[in-house]
Amino acid sequence: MTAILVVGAGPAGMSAAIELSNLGFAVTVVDDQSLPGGRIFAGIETREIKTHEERSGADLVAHFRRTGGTYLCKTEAWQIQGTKAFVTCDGHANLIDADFIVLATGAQERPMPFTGWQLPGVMTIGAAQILLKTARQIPDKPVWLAGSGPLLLLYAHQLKKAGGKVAGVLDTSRPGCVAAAARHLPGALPYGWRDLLQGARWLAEMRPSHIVRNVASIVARGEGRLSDVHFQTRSGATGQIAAELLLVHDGVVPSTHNTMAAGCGHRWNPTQRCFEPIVDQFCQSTIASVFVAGDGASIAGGRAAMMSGRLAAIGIARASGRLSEREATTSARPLQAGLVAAMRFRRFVDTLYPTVEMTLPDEALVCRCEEVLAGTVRAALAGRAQLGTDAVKIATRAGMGPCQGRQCGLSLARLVAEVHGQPLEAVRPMRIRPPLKPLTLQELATLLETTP
Amino acid sequence: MTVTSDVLVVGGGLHGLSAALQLARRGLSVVLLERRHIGRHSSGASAAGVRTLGRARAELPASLVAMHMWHHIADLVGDDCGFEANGQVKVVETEDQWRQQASLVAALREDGLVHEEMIDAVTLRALAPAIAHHCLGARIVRDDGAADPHRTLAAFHRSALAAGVRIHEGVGVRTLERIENVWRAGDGGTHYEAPLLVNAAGAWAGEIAELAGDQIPLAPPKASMMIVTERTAPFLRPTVIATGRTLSFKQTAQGTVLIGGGQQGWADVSNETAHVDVLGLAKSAAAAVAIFPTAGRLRIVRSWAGLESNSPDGVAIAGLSPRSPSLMHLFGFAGHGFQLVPSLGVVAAELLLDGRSSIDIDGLAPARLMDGSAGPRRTAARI
Repeated sequence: MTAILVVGAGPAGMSAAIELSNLGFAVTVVDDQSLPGGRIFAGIETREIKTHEERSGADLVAHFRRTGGTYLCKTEAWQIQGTKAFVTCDGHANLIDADFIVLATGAQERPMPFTGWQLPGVMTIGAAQILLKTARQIPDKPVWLAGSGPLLLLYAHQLKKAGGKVAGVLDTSRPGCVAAAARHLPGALPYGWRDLLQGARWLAEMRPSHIVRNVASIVARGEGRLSDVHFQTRSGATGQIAAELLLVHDGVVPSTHNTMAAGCGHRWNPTQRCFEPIVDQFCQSTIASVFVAGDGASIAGGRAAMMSGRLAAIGIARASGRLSEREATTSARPLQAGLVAAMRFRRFVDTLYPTVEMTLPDEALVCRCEEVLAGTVRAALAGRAQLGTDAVKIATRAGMGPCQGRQCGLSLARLVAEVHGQPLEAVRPMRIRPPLKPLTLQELATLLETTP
Repeated sequence: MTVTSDVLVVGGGLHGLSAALQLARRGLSVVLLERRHIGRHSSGASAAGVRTLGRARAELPASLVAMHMWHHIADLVGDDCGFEANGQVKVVETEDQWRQQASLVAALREDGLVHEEMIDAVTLRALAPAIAHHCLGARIVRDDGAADPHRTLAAFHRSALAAGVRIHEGVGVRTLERIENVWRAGDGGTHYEAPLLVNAAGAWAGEIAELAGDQIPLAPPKASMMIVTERTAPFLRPTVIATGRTLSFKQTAQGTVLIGGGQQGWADVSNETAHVDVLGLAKSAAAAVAIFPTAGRLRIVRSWAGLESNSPDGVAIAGLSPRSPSLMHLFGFAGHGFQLVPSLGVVAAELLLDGRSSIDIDGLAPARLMDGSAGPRRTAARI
C-alpha cells in the first residue's frame, strides 16, 4: 500500500490527510504540537468556539481526528531526505520511509530586526498571540505595537476582547500603498470580502490618537530590558515613547527550512519579498515525491491552506496512478480556482502591507544567537565579492547558533545584497544544516536501535 | 589580460595560503587563485585538530616540526589562532586495545620518538573527569591540542596579504600549460603566468595535476561529517578520540562540543558540495554518548560534511612533481591536514626554491603513487 507522510497538522496538513485517507492511502501525520490545529487553530479543541472561523477549524480538527490516518503528536521531523523523514518522539528517533511526503509546515513571522530588538520586553505579535490563544496570557500593562499587517490588527482586536489594552501603534505601513492596493480590491472581493469587512472593523476599533503613522525606523532602548522606543517617520520627524512591552510584526513568510533541507527548488516571490518552494498546479515540488501545501508553499492564509492540502492529496493520487489524469483534473479544478481567487485576495493584502525592511544600522544585532552586529557582517563582506551568506556565516559566526538562520538568514542576505550591490533575490539563502528541530545526542543515538 | 608573478598557487585553503605566505616571505611575488573564496571547503569545515598522536610515520617528521610551530603560531601569523595545547587523548576501552596501543607507543620510543605516552585510568579521569567509567586509560600526546579553524583561516589570510600575496577569489583554473619554462593558467579570460606552480586545490587537485601533466591516482574525495552542540559549561580540555570507535570529541572555546572522527557523508564533487548521512551521524552520536555519557543531554545545533581530497594510502601528498621541479603538489590530506599547515608551507618554499627540504618528506612524495616515469607522454604511450 502506498504510504504517505504528512508533516504538520495545521489546516493544510489535516486537509491533505483527510483527503488522502478518503482516497485510500495509508497516511501518517507527524506534528510537533500536542494538539492538532497548527498555529491558526492552536488548541482549538480546548477553547470556547466563538467565531465562524473557529467553528470551521474545530470541524476540521474533529474530521481529522476521525479520518485523518495515524496522527503522531509531539513528534518532531528533524531531517527530510527524499522520501525518508527522521523524527523524534518521546526521546526516541525513528525513520519514516514513505512513498510520498506532504510538507505542510506553515509560515513563520518575517524577522523584523532593528536596534534593540533583542531586549527583554520586545517580542513578536505572533508569539504574543500564541500565548493569548493557548495560555490565555494577557499583558498586565498596555502594550505598544509596531509594524503592519493583518495579524497586527487581529491581535489588537483579540487583546482588547480578552481584557488587555493597546497603548498605541507605531504603524510602518506606507500611505501610498492604499492607492496601489485599491487596484487589486475588485479581484480581492470574491474570496475575501468577509475578511475585508472584519479587517475594516478591527481598524475602526483602533483609537486614531494612539497611532503614529508612516514610521520608517525604530530603536528599542533600555538598561537590561525595554524602557523606551525611539522612532523616526518617513518625513523625518522623530519621537520617543515610554514602553515596557513592544510587540512587533512585519507579516509572515513561508517557513522554508524544511523544503530547503529536502532539496526542493525555490523561487523569489517579488511581492512578498521572500523565497518560496516551486510547486505546480498539484502542489508537487521539484522533487517528484515531495508535495508542499499551505502557507509553507506560499502565504495565502488558513482557508487557502485547506484547499491546497486537498490539492496535494489529489496530486499524490495522480502521481501514484490512483486517479487518472482526467479524474485528477476534474477533482482539482474547483480547488485550483479557489486558490487563484485566494491569491488575488492575497495580492491586495501584500500590496497594502509590503514589508518594511528597515535599514540595519551597524550597531543593530543581526544574529541574536551569536550576538553579531550588522557592522561586523558588513566589514567581513567589504571587498570580497565571492562571499555569500554561507561564507559570511563562517567568517563572523552569524547564523551558527540554535536558530539556524531562521531569525538572521534574511538579514544576512540583505547585507550581502547591500554590500555587493546585488538584488536580494540574487543572494543564495543560507544552506540548511540538519537537524531542523531540537535533537539531543542521546536522541540521535537511539536511531541506531530503531533503524537497521 | 595576463597577470605575471614568480609563483602561482592554485587553491585558497589553508595549505595554499601557508605555501603562498612562505614563498612571499622568501621574496617571491606570489599570485594565489581560488575558484570560490578563501577556505570554502575542508579548511572552512575543519575540526582544527592539532594532532601528532597516531600520525602515519611518513607524515611524522613534518607533523613534529608543525607541532613546534603551532606552539609559536603567533610568531608566524600574528595571532594564536585559538590554539590551546590541551592534549590529544586516545581512550582505551579494553585490555586488547591497551596492549595494541601500548605497543605502538613502545615502537615509537625504540626510534627515539618520545612525544607519545600511555596513561592509566586515574590520570585519564583527572584530565577528562566526564569520561565513562569503563575506560581503562589512554594513549596521549600532552603537547597536542586544537585551534579555532576560522581564526586560523583569518590569520593565514591576513598574513598572506600582508606578505604581498595577491589573492584572486572567484578565479577557477580551467587551462594550464607549460610554455618555455612558464606555467600559464587560464580561467577562460585572464591568463596567469609564473615559472613556479603550487597545486593546493584540495578535492580538485587531481584535476589540476592532470592539467599540469601528472597523473596521480587518488581515492574518491572524503565527506567527513561533524556535529556541533549547543554551548555548555566547560567540562573538557583535551581532544578525545576513541580506539575502537569512529570518534573525535572536544569542547571548543565557545563552549560548544564538536564531534567528528571520520564518519562519512556523501561527496558531491561536481556540485562542489557534500551531504550528511543521518545514520552515520547517529553512529557518531552513539560513540560520543558511550565515551561521555553525560553529553547525551546536549542539543545538536547543526551537522555538516566537508569535502576533502583523499589519497589511496591515506597519507598526504606533498612534494615536487617527478616530471618538473617547478611544480609542487600539496593535497590529499584525507581529513588530517590541518596540523601540517605551518610546516608544509615551509616545505613548499624550500622545495621550489632550494630543490630540497630541511624536513624529511620522502614518504609524502607524489611519485610513490605514480607508476614508472610520470609525465604527459606516459598517457600517450599507453594508448
